[in-house]
Amino acid sequence: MKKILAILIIAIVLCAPVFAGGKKEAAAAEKDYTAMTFDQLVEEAKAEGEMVFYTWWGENHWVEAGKEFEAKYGIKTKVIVGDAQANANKVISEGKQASGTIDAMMIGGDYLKPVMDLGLFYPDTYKVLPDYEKLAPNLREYVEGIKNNGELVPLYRNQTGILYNPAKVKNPPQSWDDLVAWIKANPKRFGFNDPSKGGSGQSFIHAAIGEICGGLDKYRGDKELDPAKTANWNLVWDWMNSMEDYWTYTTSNNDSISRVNSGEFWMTIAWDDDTQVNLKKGSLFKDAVLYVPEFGLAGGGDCAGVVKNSENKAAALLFLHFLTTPEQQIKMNERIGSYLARTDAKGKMMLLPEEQRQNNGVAWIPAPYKVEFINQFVKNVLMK
Amino acid sequence: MNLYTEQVLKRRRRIIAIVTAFFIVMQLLWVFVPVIFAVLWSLVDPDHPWSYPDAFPKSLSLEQWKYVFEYTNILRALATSYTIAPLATLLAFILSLPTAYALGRKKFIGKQIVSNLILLPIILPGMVVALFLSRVFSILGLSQKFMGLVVGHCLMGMPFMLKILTTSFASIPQDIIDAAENLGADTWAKIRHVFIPMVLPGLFAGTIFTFITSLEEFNLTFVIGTPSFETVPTILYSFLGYHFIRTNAAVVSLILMVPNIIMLLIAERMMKTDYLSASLGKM
Amino acid sequence: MKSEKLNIFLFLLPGAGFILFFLASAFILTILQSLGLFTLIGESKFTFEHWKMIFEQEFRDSFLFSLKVGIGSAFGTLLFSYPIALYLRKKGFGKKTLGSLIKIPLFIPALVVAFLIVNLISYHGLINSLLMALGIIDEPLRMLNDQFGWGVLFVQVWKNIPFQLLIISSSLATIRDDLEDAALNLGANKLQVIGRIIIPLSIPGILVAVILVFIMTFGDFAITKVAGPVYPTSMSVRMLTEAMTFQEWNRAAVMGVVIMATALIFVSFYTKIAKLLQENSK
Repeated sequence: MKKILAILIIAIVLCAPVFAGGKKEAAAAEKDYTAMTFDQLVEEAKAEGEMVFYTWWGENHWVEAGKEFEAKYGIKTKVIVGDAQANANKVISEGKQASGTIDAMMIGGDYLKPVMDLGLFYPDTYKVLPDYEKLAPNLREYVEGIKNNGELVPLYRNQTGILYNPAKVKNPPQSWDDLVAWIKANPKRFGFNDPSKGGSGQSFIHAAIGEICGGLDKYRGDKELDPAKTANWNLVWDWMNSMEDYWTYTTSNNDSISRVNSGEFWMTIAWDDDTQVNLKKGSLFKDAVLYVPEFGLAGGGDCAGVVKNSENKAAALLFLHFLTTPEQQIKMNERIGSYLARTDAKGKMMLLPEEQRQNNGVAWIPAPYKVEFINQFVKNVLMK
Repeated sequence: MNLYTEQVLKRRRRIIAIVTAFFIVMQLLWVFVPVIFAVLWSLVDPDHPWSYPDAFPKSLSLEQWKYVFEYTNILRALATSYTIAPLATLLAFILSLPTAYALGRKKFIGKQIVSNLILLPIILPGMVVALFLSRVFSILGLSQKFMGLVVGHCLMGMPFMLKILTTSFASIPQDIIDAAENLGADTWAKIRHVFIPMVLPGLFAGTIFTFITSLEEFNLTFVIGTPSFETVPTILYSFLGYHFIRTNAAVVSLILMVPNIIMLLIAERMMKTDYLSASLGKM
Repeated sequence: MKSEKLNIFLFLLPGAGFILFFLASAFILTILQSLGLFTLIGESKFTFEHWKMIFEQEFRDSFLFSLKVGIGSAFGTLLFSYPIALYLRKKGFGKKTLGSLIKIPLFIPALVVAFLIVNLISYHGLINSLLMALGIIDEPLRMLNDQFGWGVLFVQVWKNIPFQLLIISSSLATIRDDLEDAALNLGANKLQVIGRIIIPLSIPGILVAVILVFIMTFGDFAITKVAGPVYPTSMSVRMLTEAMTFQEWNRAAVMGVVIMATALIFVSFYTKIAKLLQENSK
């Protein structure tokens, strides 16, 4: 018994520094970047002399862009390609330190919410970047339904669509009813991923809610979940349960694509940028087609932010500005095929026709509803 | 011994040889078929995708390899990984030895609790490690330091080293020690002739496990090591994790796997005694 | 006696002390978070509210799934690793080569193993192609992410056979030949020798091998995520979803505590049973 007590006491003493460290440490007096002119920002960035950028995919573009940035401004740039979720873990675990090791990072919709809730991004980014107004307006406000208060810089836009094998699908469905009919006519040849594991599966459920529960407009603008508006979602879940024998749930965005490639699926829901990457790497056959059906599928984009406890904020801000210049945006489009975040420039690589993006792309409903449908899907569909 | 038993023995030896050969072939299939598929995926020509119904890629190229070497710091990461692993293993061995001895051979109150608590590093979920343990490291100033990574990897591998060494110490029969003492062996002689040979197989297993744990450690390394230090898993996870890309994943997997397998085979060749069948009965 | 106690304490310090020094705070913070304290986002308030989740069906399903995978892998692997260890105990033609080959999966990281096996068991993977070519099946089997978790069990066994083999072999190596010879001279047959002498003496090794594999597979994240069923999923995967997707950090902490507690309870319980077995067989 004494031993247990002794262990407990030792353990509590050992915890003391962590508890003490839990309190917010006073940050060093911060420079006001909003008051600087662009030239002053460049000077400041050069004085800092280095910066670290975390991302999770498209390494060829970010690494090259980092080299070009270094060549242009003489600021030592390190690009780390980590796992999306590990990046989020890292920035969260460093959140309470006076200074962290990440200066700027790309963050996807799946991991954005905790990082926003913890207030880990530098809040005035939108006031500092000279070209901020020229970036995709929808992403400046919301990313996958999560409000970002101008703290994030949109780097590219993306869109979910239907990916199919043209050898097997002759008349790709345009309306919701046609899609459902196709799925029923071709059992187990369609699939989408578990929505808690990626955005393309979310997009399908998002569309189903819109089609079955009376449109998506009623959810727009809500900051909190209104239970009255989710009351009839059971219709979606009942329908999905009745369809269980006709489709397959996959485990990630890319899992869906690789099942199209391996012949198991003839049709799936996929992101345009993921499709592009798989086409480029030789892990998806070249004649696979992606399109946005007329009934509409969700789209968005990914953003990057400057981390609040970075010691190289000016350099980080400058790097994000650099990534959103027209030249870099066009290079990004060439290298990884992503659709430009900048609205006043155009890239050459076009997987989806412009009018499909404009006419059939749908914005996500607010985050509280999205979290709710993921949760309800697990409870009412997967668990059944 | 008469002719008859000699023949029986001969036949039995032949049967064992055939059975062993059969197992070797099975094992080759069991291990290498999956690996061959990884090799094929790593050689897929980006211009000629490998899709159903092709059983094999239509054309092969080194593009995927070039890509990984060009856009990741894989070589530096390999060097870092293979420097940290032996150091972490050595540290784990030094730290574990006395504790394993006490747990294996001494009787004291609270022994069961201690021998369970030493499992904590492998019991903690990866997320807890990333969020809390990394905080402890940064408070102690071990973050972004080479030594910090050695200590961290040692920590994550120690449960294996400790548990196995404890078992080895515990399984030394007391009569051997007594016999040695009766023969007038001093402490050093006891260590040399009793403890070392008896503990060696366990030590070998513990060393291997600690070494691999270090090579595979991801959660802690990513938070306290990057951006200053990248290891092979921190690069591997970007291709195998959230943004899974089959071709690049195959390349990185092979880069991590092949040196290990070569190392294992060399180590086995160099080991003088076959520790799996080493027996102390001949001592 | 006093100095003996001090001695033991000093012996324990470098190993156990080192581990506790670093991990006690992570361990305790997780427990406190599960009780609503030290919350990452939002208010901290002492409450048992979050613990109510253990009565939810999702929690139960994940827990049972992890338990199934943990126990299944630990003992399933033992079915292979123990006989192999016995077989490799004595020197013989080719056994050294076989021993090396068997160890290879040990050196392949879990994520890579999952990736390799997925290549084999996918819809048009090697196994399906072979079965189709041999005319055993007409339609490819959907083995990936199967509901039961066979895929996960297969990957875990593949990966853990050499792990257990090494531990058990090192334990078998400490059994002296003279015991065996004596028994054989007294007229015991090989099976009796294995049943009466070798198995009882190797129980400590089996114990450790099973415990370590159980802990690793019960808390597994990577393999379940790639090869596991879409639902239910393992405790670790579920824990991450709670934290990242639903921002339920306290509930994630509850899951963390349950993972740790289950591992510790399993270890204690199993150790007791193994001790009883060993004593009975003496």
